[in-house]
Amino acid sequence: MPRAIEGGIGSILSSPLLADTGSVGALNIYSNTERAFGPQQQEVAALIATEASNLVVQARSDVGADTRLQGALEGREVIAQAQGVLMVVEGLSGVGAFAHLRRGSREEDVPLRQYAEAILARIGRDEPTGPASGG
Amino acid sequence: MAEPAGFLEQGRVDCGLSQAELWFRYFELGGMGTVMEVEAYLFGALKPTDHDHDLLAVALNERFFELGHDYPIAYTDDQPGQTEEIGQTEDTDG
Repeated sequence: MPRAIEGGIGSILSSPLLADTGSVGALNIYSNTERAFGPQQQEVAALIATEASNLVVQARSDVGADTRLQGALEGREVIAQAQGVLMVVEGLSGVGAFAHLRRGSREEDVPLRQYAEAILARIGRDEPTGPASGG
Repeated sequence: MAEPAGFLEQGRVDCGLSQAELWFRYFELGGMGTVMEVEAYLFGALKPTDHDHDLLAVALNERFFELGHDYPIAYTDDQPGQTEEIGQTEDTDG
């Protein structure tokens, strides 16, 4: 503290950033005036600290969201590739190719992405692309 | 196949997906609409193209299937009666 006083700091208001899992940091506000933070300032700081806590928690969960986004982008690519294959092989429009994927996945009770992956695999084995073509 | 506004939203509520989660699934299937556009589709403020409707229907139906249900959300090229009904069983609307 002596160094803080030497630096011109008269008072510090420190509010913890709390999440369900515990502390995630602290919000520190400095003033060059002594006893600058009364009950009203403490209350406002607590409100800001709550918002800041939410942002920190959100930022941490965004790391998981990045992984999910990557998976979603891969899914889009697989489906787009399968649509492209169907457009060429079956002579369908883009929307028609999607409808083909939709019907096939429904008939085989598999997610559309999985059905699209199966079509790409069939193409790799030079097999037909239609629903239930593999039995 | 014409459906009343709010049908997709009712499906979303019934299968327990948040709007953000539904948009994510729609995006993964190739949807190009923004979160706000999808929200507008759900509440009938914007009319989705047939393709966007079907993308949302697939996203919802896959969720219903995960929960052990059939595919209750109709696609635009479905014939009437081809899908099972959705909605709250205690709905007294009318």
